[in-house]
Amino acid sequence: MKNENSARYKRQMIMPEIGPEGQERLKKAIVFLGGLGGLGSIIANYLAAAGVGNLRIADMDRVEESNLNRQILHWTDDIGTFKSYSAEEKLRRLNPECRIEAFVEEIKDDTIVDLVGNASVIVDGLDNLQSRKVLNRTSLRMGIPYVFGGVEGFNGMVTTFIPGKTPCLECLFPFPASSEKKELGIIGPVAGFVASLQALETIKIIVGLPGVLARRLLHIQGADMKFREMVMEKNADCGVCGPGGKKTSNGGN
Amino acid sequence: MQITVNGIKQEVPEKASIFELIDYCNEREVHLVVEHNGKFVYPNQYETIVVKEGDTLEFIHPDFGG
Repeated sequence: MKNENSARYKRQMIMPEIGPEGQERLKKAIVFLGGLGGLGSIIANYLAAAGVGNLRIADMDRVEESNLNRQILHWTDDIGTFKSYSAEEKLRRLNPECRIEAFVEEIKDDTIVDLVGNASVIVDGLDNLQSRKVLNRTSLRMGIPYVFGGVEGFNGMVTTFIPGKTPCLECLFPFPASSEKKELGIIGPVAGFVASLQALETIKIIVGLPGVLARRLLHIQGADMKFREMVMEKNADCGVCGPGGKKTSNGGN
Repeated sequence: MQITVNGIKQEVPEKASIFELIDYCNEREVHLVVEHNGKFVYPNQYETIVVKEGDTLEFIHPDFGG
């Protein structure tokens, strides 16, 4: 099956793992991305560039100058603009074939269903645990994968949660999230490597490739380049995804 | 007994549980990530898993920024 824009995707379509069939799956995919900051900018950029056909992107914040050291979709002239619209503009210019639906919305239990829509993957570009728990519960209710990522300083973590096959976010972090908002240190390349891994995980899920980070938590220390992979077994006692768990619970929040 | 904690060999009490070692090592992070011999340890397992001579433990502070 010939993709009508083979030139744009030629370099990935010649990879036997992708090919025209994989490219067609990317074109038909609907991905929800929560957060368009350091992680989200890079994730969105790579997914649009790779030919993901439909991106639903949500962020409630405006661009600030302190974002510009790492949030590659937002530039100096965008200061004061909603991140969703700034991102939408750049992504449309990058790849006009990618259908972008941009939302200026907070990720909450009462908004998330409409935001996620018919997406088949949820990707995490958020900056706090509380909102991540909303994504986690939505992933479990809808039965779709949730690609988690987080960064601070020189460090980052990545894994993919697959309902029914892996632990969930709240297996790892069952305690209530603090509502305190702290300004965390972060340098661009750290967001870069975590977000790139998340984008790659998302592409692999869509195309149907093996080797996804299921049941493995990757922790990266950028200061000394230590990469740690932790095996995560299923957690039968999870209050959210376990047999007695409530997927609609608020996880303590 | 001797185990390795965060890459450093140290003496810890015999038959200590993960829960006891978290306190012993003064780890106060609520959302602490604990790795025991390469496996993630869930908070609900802290009191039941007991370390042995030669085990490795890593206490990692999670990264929730984005």
